[in-house]
Amino acid sequence: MNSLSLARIGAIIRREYVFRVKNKWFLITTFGLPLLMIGLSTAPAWLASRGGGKASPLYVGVVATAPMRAVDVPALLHAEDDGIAADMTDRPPSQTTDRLATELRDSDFDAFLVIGDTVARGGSAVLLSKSVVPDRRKAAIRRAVRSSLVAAGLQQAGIPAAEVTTALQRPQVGLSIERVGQEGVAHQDVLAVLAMVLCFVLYMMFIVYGQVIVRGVLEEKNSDIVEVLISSVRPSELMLGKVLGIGAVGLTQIGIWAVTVGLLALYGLSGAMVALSQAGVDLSGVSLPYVGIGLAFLAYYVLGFLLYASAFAAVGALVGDDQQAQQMNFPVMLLIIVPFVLAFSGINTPDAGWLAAASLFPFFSPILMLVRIVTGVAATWQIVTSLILLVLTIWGVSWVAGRIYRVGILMKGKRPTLPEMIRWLRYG
Amino acid sequence: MEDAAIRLTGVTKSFGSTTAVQSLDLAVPAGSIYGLLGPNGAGKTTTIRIILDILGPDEGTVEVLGRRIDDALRCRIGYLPEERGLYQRMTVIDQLVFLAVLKGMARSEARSEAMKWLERFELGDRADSMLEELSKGMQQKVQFIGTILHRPEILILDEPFSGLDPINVDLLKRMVLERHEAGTTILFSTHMIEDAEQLCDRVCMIAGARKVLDGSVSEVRASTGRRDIILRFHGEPSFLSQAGVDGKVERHGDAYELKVADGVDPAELLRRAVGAGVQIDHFEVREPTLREIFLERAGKRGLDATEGSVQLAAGGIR
Repeated sequence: MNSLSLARIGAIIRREYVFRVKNKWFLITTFGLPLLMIGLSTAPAWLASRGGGKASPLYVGVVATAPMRAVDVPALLHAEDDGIAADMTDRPPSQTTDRLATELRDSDFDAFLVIGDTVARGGSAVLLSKSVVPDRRKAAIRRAVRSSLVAAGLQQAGIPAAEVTTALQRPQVGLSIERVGQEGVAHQDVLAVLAMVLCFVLYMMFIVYGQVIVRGVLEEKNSDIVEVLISSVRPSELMLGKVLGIGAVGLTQIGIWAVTVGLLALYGLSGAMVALSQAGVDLSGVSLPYVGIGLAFLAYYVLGFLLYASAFAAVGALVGDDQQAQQMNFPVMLLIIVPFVLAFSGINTPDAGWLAAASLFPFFSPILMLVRIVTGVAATWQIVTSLILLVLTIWGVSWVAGRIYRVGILMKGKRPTLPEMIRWLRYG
Repeated sequence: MEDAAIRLTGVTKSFGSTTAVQSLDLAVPAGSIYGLLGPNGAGKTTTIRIILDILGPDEGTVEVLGRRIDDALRCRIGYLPEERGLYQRMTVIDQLVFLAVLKGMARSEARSEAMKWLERFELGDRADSMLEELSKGMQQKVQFIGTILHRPEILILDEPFSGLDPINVDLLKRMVLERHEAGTTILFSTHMIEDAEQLCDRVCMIAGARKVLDGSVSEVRASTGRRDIILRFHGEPSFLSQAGVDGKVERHGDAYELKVADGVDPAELLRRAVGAGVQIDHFEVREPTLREIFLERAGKRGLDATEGSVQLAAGGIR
């Protein structure tokens, strides 16, 4: 084996890179993906706020016992859900449900909220309604009833009704958690969101560009150009050039996103910030270890890409058509999907032991270790260990993938069996 | 043959239980046009892939320009595979430059050379077209340019004429001869024996993974030591049996073709034909053709294997 030629690898990288960056799909994904992500992250908050305001107004008649009537239950209901308008009625809660139902039908009210004597002692309040009540609203009414009980209690203890009601009308109290780490104080929620965004970008990149590699290899194989190429370059050069070229395309895309986000943040115009604050995250006054996170992201992107891309290149060489590719893809995809799912379930407890263990597993570490680094729970020895294991694994996987690739790209037709593949690994 | 551009010694290659090439010795003299002949599945493509180091032989050695193939040598070879392939969604010029750069050519030189060749092939205005926008014939031309752009000293063409229309076959043959005159060693495989007969200095015929014969075209044709007489005529063939001529008579429409192997005096036969008053369309005394020799040597096995490809060849010529 003489050494690989940089000139030839360079030519292959260049072809892959230029061809793909010029492609319209590059533009579509570069600008479409962030829009999609912003959409996905803000849509729930937006829908929720829209949904709350839009839910049809509910006019509630409050039917309560005397001590309760001293409390401004309608105001508390409105404070919990501004879609609710309410009035006190002078109906006694001891009336039978049938009777109340008849009265409700004849009245302007949409619903009666019945707070009987038993409620203070642990019984249920009753909502008689003409229409279906959504869960969100049910929860709001439940909270209002509880506040009313507290207010009634305090009032009986001699605190003026108006004061009590004002205090209880206050909207929810936020809880901001500042975790004190070695680098200083950081906002836990912001870190968690940032970790998930970065981990999502990694996940997307690995999956999307992995597929690009599979298709690229398959295309060369099926268009028979591979035979022309192999008469000029070594299979290992071809594979390396392809992986690096396509990896560089992904890196370019990430670079474009990073610069865009940076510019937006710098000029305070960030749509992402608005989106985040709508999603309940306040970024103002937060300082992050940007450089460290950036380096960690870059390292795990590059290493993770090398790892998965070589495996995907082998998949592309193994299969004969798209359909076979779908099947053979799955095991490799799983190695990307599993850590992504683990990251999601672990994001609220990033310092959990199982997550630490999983983040050392080389196939999971690109995504999981990044999450742990960003949330600030990864110890230096863990990071170093994961990097060493990752590099060793890349070396092993690319060796196996290279062998498979070398034989596979010239194979036609049927997918090879496992014994055949093992023979390929032994071959020269 | 001291100055063999390509030399195979005892090369054997098997795939599982099938032997694709069996102890093949082959020497392609520098500067020659060398034909590798044989029916489909005879082992031609495998032989070519072994020469190019795409496949490693199980046994035997391969030398190109006097040494084992390496990266530097690869740049001196141009290869046109049987299954043509280029990137469909890449422009013609980018594609050609890419292929030439892989062969060690400088980018700027590759570009200007490629433009020259495209002009010669009347494709100058298509340089920036995507390959998929070109007709099949044009794509073939682009592929051929890609094979010769880096000025290889050795040209290896696997079934170069298959799938081409007659105009492009002629064009390609002219190009092959032109490269030959420029001193390039050319090895090409074909199952169309007539192409080889027309172009080659030397041929090697293989069938069923083994070499059947090998030598210069004139040597091979003279090797039988016999000359055949071909007589085509319109008229009554009965004079032949009266003259005691023992040959193969075939009817072609309302004409007859007689082929006599040996032992008949051509002048006597011609006199008889004239005497019988038949209308003579064609009279020829010649050495057996490569095809005839190949069919005789390869025997039943070669014949069986060839049948399909002979028809294919005929189809290709029409």
